[in-house]
Amino acid sequence: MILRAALLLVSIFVADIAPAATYRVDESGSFPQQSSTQMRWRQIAPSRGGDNAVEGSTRVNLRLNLAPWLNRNGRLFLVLPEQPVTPVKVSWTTQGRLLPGQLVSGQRALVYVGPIVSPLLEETLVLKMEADGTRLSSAQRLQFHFEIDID
Amino acid sequence: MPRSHSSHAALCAAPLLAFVLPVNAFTVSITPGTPTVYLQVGVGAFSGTLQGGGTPGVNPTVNVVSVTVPAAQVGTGTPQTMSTNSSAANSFWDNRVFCSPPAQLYVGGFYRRPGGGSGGGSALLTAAVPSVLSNGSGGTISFSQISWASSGLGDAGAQPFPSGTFVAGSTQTIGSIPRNEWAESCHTFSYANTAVVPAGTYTGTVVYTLAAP
Amino acid sequence: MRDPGTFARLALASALLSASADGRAASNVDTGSPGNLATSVDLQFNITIPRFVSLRVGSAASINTLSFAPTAAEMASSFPVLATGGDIGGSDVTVQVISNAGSVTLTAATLTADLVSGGNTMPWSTLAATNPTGSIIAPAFNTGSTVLTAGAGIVNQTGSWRYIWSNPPNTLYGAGTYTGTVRYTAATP
Repeated sequence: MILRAALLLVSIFVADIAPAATYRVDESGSFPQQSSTQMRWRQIAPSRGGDNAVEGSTRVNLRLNLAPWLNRNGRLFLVLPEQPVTPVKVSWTTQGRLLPGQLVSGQRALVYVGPIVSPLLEETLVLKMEADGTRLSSAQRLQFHFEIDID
Repeated sequence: MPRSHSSHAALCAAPLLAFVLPVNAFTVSITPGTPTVYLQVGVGAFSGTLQGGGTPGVNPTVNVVSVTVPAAQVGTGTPQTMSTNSSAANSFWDNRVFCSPPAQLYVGGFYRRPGGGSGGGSALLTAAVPSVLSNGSGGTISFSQISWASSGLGDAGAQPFPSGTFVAGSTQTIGSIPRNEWAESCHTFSYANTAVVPAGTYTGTVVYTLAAP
Repeated sequence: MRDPGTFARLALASALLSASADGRAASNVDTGSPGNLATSVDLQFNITIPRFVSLRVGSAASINTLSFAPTAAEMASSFPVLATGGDIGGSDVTVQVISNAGSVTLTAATLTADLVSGGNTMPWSTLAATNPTGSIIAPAFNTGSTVLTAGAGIVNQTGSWRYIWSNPPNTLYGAGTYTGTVRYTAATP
């Protein structure tokens, strides 16, 4: 009697899912997993105003595994860690499932708030990136990820 | 029988770890801007202006600097001011009037290079100068007879492409452009006219080259 | 969604850069790797030199008058007489011939048949010129010519002429001032 009751108690606790916290989201289904963007000078010729920015754009098809938080309320963020060489400004547009927005490396930006109603979220991001062209002297890998704050 | 807190805690911890295992992020590699040099001697080509985000281009026209020496002056040693068929007066940098054609020839350009620190600091402007101008009938004039004065409307301080004289049969330095800068000058050419030479039209071509290290 | 303005600029840049080549021009562009980045532009120079010939006899800015004023004793001696009034001094005048049009022929033409003083005349043959400096031989009046040979198409010679009145013996001329003008001409083919 006691053993069965103990097992039942454990099962109920597991089904209650994770407590409120911030979690990394599995986006291994996104593609391309890796891409390369040739940045171009915003002003090819140096200007009196000193605009040395380089900018580029790429498209990413997202597949976010939100199953662990199904039916939970959460806030989904796009994150880009701080970059070692030069800050990178990122802005993006979406097809509507996620919010458009912008961030600077070292920040995270809110892209969704509300209930998680589907285990899989698919979205297409068009990223525009900007950096200081006089400091970007070699390829820099921007490792984006998503994290979710669960209530 | 009281439940063991330790076993209960272990069961709670296992599911939480499953959610925080590292997962792949998507990675975008950004590569630096493309190094670029632009050189303009005379009339250039630019779509719009620099401040308007214009882009440089190729102008296939070769400009000419010329003079017809009056008969009474040939070989007298009195310098003869030359003029150009270039109409370039405004700078593409900010579209302001900079040179005064036909007396002045525009010489300018820019050097774009990503990265900072030492190395690759400046692009060098050189001129490959033939030994002589020729009249096609055996008559020659040394290129060392041609010099130029450098200026720029509204400029103060040293010119990036200062005054000088051609060194016949050489490749000589005209000036330099620092990394991620635009540099420009106006050149007024002069023929020294120190020798009596046979009649004719003497022609020669100087090749200006802007090269980045 | 890309900014159409940026896209247009990038496309234009690509098109322009692809047109950039080793061809000479008044403006040029190159893109590439550091250490392999260079662009060139041509500039043509033209110097036009006209054909010319320049002749100087005496002062550069005025016509000289050479004056012979022999004394009675000199007249009696029949010795040649020197003049005054040359730009160099005395009987001597500067002569200079410059040309870039090949060899030059000098001639001397008198504007009158003889030197004249009222109703009296004196033949030009009583006058002659030597070249104390330089290599330019004075052409004889009305009959001779001097050819200056060009070197590489150029004649550039300077010298002097000295005029002498021969004071011919056993010849008497009426008192007076006998005048005449000589025109020297330098001609190229």
